[in-house]
Amino acid sequence: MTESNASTMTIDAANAAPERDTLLDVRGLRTEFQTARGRVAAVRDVSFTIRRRQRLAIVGESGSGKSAMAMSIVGLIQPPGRVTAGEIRLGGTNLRELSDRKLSEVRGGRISLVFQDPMSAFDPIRTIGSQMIESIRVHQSVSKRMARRQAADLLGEVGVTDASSRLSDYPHQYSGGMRQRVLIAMALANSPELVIADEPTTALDVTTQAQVLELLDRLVTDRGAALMLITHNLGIVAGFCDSVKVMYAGQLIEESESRALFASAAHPYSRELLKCVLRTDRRQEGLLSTIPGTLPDPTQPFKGCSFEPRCPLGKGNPLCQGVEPPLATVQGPHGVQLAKCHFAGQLELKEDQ
Amino acid sequence: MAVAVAEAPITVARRRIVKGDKVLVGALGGLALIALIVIVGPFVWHYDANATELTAQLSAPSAEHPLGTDNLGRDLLARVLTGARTSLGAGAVVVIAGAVLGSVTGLLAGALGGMVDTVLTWLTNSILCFPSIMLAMAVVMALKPGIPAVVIGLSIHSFPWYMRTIRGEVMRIAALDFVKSTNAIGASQGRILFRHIFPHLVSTIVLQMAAVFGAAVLSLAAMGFLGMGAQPPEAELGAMITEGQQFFLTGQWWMAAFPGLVLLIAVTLTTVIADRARELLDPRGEYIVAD
Amino acid sequence: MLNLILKRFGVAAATILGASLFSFFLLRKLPGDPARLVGGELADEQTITSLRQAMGLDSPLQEQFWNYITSSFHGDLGFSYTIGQPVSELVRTRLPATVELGLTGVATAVVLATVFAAIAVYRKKKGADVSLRIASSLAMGSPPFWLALVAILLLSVNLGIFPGPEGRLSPSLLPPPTITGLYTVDSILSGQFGTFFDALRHLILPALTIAVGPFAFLSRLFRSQLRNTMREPFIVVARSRGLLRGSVFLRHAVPNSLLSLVAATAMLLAETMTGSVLVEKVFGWPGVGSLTVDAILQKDFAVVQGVILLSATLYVTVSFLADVVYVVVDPRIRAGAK
Repeated sequence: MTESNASTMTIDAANAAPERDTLLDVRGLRTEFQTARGRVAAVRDVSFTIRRRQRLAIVGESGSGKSAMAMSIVGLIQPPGRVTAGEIRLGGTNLRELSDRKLSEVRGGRISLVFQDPMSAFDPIRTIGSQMIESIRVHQSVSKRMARRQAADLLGEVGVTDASSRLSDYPHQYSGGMRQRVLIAMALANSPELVIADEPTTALDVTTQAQVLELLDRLVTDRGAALMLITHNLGIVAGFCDSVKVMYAGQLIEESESRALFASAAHPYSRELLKCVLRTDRRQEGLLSTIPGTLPDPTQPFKGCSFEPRCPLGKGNPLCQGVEPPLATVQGPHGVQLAKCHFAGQLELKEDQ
Repeated sequence: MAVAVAEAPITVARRRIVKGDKVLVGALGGLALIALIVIVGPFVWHYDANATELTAQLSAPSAEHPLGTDNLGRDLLARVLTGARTSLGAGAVVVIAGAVLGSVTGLLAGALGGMVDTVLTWLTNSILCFPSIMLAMAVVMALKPGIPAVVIGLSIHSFPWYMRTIRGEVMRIAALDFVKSTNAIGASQGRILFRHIFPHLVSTIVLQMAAVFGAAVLSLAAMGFLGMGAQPPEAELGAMITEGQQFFLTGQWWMAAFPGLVLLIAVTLTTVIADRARELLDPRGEYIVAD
Repeated sequence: MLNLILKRFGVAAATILGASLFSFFLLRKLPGDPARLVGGELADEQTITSLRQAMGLDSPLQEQFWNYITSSFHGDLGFSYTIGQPVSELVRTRLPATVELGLTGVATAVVLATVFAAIAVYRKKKGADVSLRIASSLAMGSPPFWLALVAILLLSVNLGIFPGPEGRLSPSLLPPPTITGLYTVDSILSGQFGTFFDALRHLILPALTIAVGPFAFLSRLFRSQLRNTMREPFIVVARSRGLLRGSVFLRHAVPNSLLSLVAATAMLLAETMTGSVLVEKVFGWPGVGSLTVDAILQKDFAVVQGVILLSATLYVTVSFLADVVYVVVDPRIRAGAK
């Protein structure tokens, strides 16, 4: 029934994806922050792979370590944070072994990022055009004029009307939704292989959200890029991503194909998340507040399952309190799922009890 | 970023004080030592700051006169001790007078508003057009050269900052709910000001006092140096530098060197203390104009 | 935009008016009779009365103030009884020396402060930052006049690198023909390179002494500003677009932080123009500062009043210009002002 595997096991390996298709391969990534109260691990030994053109969602509540993981991948964890272990392989190279100069060629080149808050993502005293041209010319040896033309084309492509004249506008002259579109345009300027979008729609109102997601969808598909969508909103994941990884307290606790997750989540936490989506439907604020309790204090040493204090199934169970569960493989009706739970595969059984 | 380990600044401050910010503790200790020497020194050191000894003019530092003597044969250590007491004491008076004057006018402008506010704001804007030395010189001319005139001039120059801060804060706080409700209960306006609003501002005011103390001491010394502050034979560090100026360049360096060195050390220490205190209480706060 | 500038202009005018009122009453209502000061202790009552008439002291106070304002508006700042020249003429001849000194000093301070603060913030090792903090604390704590003396003793008297406190030029040289009034500029414009180097040698120590205080202030301001800017999200975003840390620092962090220095520099500049009293005295520099000291000690209140008015006007003008610079340079304000 339950089959325990080495913790580096991933859903992709389990689903036997062809090796050559692998774009990004993260092994045992650990990111720690030095704080006054000691070292705190924001990302705890995370392993996963992204295939070319794959749409992957990383879901978790704020503080679960998903943004820290994204920044760790591109080597932009700011002090006092530091990546302390693991490999991040893009193609054949381990990004952790690259110099900052070499890594800079990857950032905005092969891997680009779209950030949450379009208000503060631009230099306020430089025009949109100059910032776009800058991004283009860092990676491509083209003339300023060529870069400007490219930038105008990109702006047009993301739906900015009168693109070439709006290049001379300053960020504050754009609306929030437009700024997010420009950010997306910039992220795609150098035809990346992977786009990491960190809560790209959180700061926007609901109608704009849909448009921006649609745009992201179209551009990523057109350019054949893979997408890693980081969100706390399971609602926008369905129908948008192929597979989902659920993050909790710095660990991946469930890895499933989207279909499988929405049909039958393999981890109690994912189930609670899904219930929240159903309950609150389109309202995203306060989405997760309906799961009682909060994330564990990261400064305390972890023992047992990190979700145990909030878990409807395992709360108070000596096994869950004492032993950290392995990442177990579950054969569900929609394929293989991985869940870091002692009761993976028996959730229905336990719930009935 | 992702980890929920953000700490309240006050927690950081408390820990840093408890653990001991070495620089802050060192600077505080240094300043306390100077204060102690300056207060106790004149009683312990047996020389009179104004007693001339005509047989020992301009003698170099020795066992008898550790800092040497000046051109009138006065013991320099005794003069530096009393001079430092005068300079630092007058600096403290400036800072306190400025804070009191600024607090009162600030409370008035903020609480009364209207004409009082307009006039006071206009007045302080006008005062701030002058460099502090320029204003002090004008007051010296209006009265007479001496430390009192300089203290008045520098106090006038230093009060607008407090006034502006307190005025703004009074207006902000007066709009808050708890003050409105206190008002509704029927508490008098003066009572609200002093019981509820003023306490909010104390740390801001004290920090600013610490930040401008050094500048006040330097300005006082500058006025003394120009001959508009302390008048002879009174010992004051700035004036002592003037007295030693002509001998400084001809080999009798000690007359001007020691008073300047004491100024340098004392003011640098207060600057460091003010900086550190500000960082402790307000880690992201910006420096304020210290003049 | 015009509206905003006009409004600032109104505030500036009101402030100058206030400053002149302040100085007028401070000096007019002082104990002691200005006419008696001019006439001297031995002058008889009749001389004093006619002096009072000549100085306009017998008319009502508000009329005196009105006369003072209208005449200063026409460039007439009164007459110096101790020197025997119109105040405006005195200021005109003395101002260039102070401007040359103040501009050089503040410019030096700005350059040194931005460069050192930038290095201190950019370097990941703490050494540069600690050195800057020590240097700026010492610079804040040092009495400038004393520092000037020490510099003269060490560099002029002992080492002979710089000339002693003898003013703007060696006594053996004639000043260059007056074009701008700044000796270094005028000597180059008229091709007198010997004079230029002499003027420059005389300028360096006083200018450096002037620079000490502004350096301390600006380097601390710029350091904290840069550190705050480096924490802004757009800095990390720029890094994520592939810019190296150095490029992000130079192209984004520094320009954004420099904006905050404009107002501070303007204030320091205005202050230096009349506040360079001490340094001028130590170096025998014939500028407005030394003119003021002499005037105050001799109770020549026309000169003091003139200088005070000049000081206030300079301050208000410079801060007004700083506001205009912000409106022109910062796109956010520019947009808000439209």
